[in-house]
Amino acid sequence: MALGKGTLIGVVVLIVVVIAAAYLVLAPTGPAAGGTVKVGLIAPLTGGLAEHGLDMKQAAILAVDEINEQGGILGKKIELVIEDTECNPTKATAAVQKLLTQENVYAVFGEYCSTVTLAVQPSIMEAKRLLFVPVSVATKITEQGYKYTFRTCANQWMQTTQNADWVVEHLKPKTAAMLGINDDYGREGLKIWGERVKSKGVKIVAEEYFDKGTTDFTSQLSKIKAANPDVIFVVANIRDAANILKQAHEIGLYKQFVMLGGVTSDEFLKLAGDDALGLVHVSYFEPTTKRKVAREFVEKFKKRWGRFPAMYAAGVYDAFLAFKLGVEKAGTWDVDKVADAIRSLKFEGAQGLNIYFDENGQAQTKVLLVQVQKVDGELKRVILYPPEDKQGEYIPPEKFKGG
Amino acid sequence: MIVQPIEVIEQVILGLMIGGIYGIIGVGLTMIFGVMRLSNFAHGEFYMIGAYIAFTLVSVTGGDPYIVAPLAAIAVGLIGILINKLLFKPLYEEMKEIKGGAAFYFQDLRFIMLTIGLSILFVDLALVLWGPIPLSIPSPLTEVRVIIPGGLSFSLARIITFIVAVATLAALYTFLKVTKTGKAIRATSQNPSAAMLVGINTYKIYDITMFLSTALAALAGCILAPIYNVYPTMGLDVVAKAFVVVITGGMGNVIGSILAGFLIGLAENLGGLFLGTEYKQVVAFIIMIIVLWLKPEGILGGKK
Repeated sequence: MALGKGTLIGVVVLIVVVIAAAYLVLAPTGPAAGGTVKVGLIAPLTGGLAEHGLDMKQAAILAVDEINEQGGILGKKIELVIEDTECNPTKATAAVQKLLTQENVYAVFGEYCSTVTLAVQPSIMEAKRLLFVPVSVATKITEQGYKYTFRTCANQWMQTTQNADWVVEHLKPKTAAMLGINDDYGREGLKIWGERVKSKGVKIVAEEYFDKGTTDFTSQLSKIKAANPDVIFVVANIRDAANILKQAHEIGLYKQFVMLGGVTSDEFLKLAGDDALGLVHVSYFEPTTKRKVAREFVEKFKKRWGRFPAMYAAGVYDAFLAFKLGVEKAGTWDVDKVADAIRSLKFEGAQGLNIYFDENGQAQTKVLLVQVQKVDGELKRVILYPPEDKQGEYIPPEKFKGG
Repeated sequence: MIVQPIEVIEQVILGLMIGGIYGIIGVGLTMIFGVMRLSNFAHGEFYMIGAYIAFTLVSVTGGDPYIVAPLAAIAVGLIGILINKLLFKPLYEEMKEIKGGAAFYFQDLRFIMLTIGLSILFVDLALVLWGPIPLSIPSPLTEVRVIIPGGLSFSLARIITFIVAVATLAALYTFLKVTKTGKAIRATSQNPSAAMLVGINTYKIYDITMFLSTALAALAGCILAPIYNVYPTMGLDVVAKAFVVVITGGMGNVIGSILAGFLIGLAENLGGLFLGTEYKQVVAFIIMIIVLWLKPEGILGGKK
């Protein structure tokens, strides 16, 4: 029996060695032979952020179908594999492992939450696959020197400083208050914005935080009200932002609120209702834009899904555009050559006329500043800045009071 | 920065208003614990379903959320009874044979997993039925502001919510103290075996308790819906706080939960005011830890 056991172990070891060797020899560096290339999308499709995940998913399906209708990329059809993350790093890591090993995807698109993107980024980079980040804004993502990471939206630092600069220049406040979600996104946002306006002589009179899952913000808002600032900067997602505005007006706090791009969506306007009037915020994309590529994207999205795309949809769509153009420019699926090709691209996407990536893979884009106003009895985002996109004039919050 | 008295007053009022809500959600949870001796991890989901049913009723009938609230609460209460009869009862019967009437079901892993499973199931069900996008139920009452001299302002909706919460808690207390059914519930809570001996049908009491508990959670969801938003995971956001309230107040003690609700609502707001709002959540848990340290059975624990 001793011999039998030894033989058995020997056989098992042999099988393992053979499989490992076969994997090393046959492991595809590019996509496997055949007619299709798989790409993965990771997004929060269930849980509290599911509404944003839906935008990402619908844009990805639209983009992939369009690529395939035009004959694919370099003659290969694209197959989209969608994984739910719930904005949970543990779940996302498992999903990405599945995409990399079982599905053998060529590129990963996602995620919404920066914490998730940062968690899955190293394993995607180690596996030498492309990572397109269409939504996560944490500045760090494109500052770690990864060759295969590309972000198609402005990062947190870019949008926050552009927001702060507009506020100082156009609203000329003496004092400001800040309110943010108590995590890395909120803390980073408040730090960047606060330092930027402070350097231009604005005094920060209140800095408040709320935890994830908070539904009542009155205690934070009451403190801000007592500090009596000229302008209030808020970092929050759609749901929280709508509650914050509603509850601010409830306790009689009518001041100029400014927010980041996270609230750019029609769902937000529906949720907040008239309490959103007067709010100034960053937008990466406006479906009302007149530019041709953007207009076509909006029409296709509307036709396919029966609703207007939020800006996350535009970021995802542009990511697929960069992917397609990059591979075509490289003329090969060799990942290093494709990464180089994407860095040398200059293209028009849904989000801008001239999109190009810097050395870190960060797209250089200018964000829009919009104000929620009533146009023909309906809540609309009116573009205030930059001048070339301007649609209307800024209206101070006093004009909206009680409305 | 110097804190002005008006600020303290505003925070106290807001804290008490939120405390009433904590109380009404915590009371349902503590009743299930006291009478049925199980920890219902799906409690928050009844709160969520209540809000969604109110939303559906409002969109179908065009009524006001405050008017349809009782209907939604009763509907959810019936769901509660159904779950009790279908899922919990077989386990009670099986356990009674082994341990007798006074078995502590909450120690049974099957109940813990069953209620956690229900919670996940309900959240996913809401995602399928109503979608992931948060909804708001507009009520004209949220637009009405009550202005108090000194620069304070509250919406009528919030004031009504507080009144409904307090009135419901008072009604529940009277029901438990005065009516025959209420006394039977308290008897079952104190000693199920003895209650059975004197002719109380404990399974029926469990049905009634489940109805009251889930209906209270649903009522809270309905009356809060116009102020906050309705979304599938809203129950998960309140259930942790509800457990803090229940544990602080004394597990199974109704009055304890009401007091703990107000205590935590107040402490969070004053803690936020003086320590900084990033510590609001921490304050609630610190209160719980201090109470457990000084009085492990909770503020009013031990008394029924």
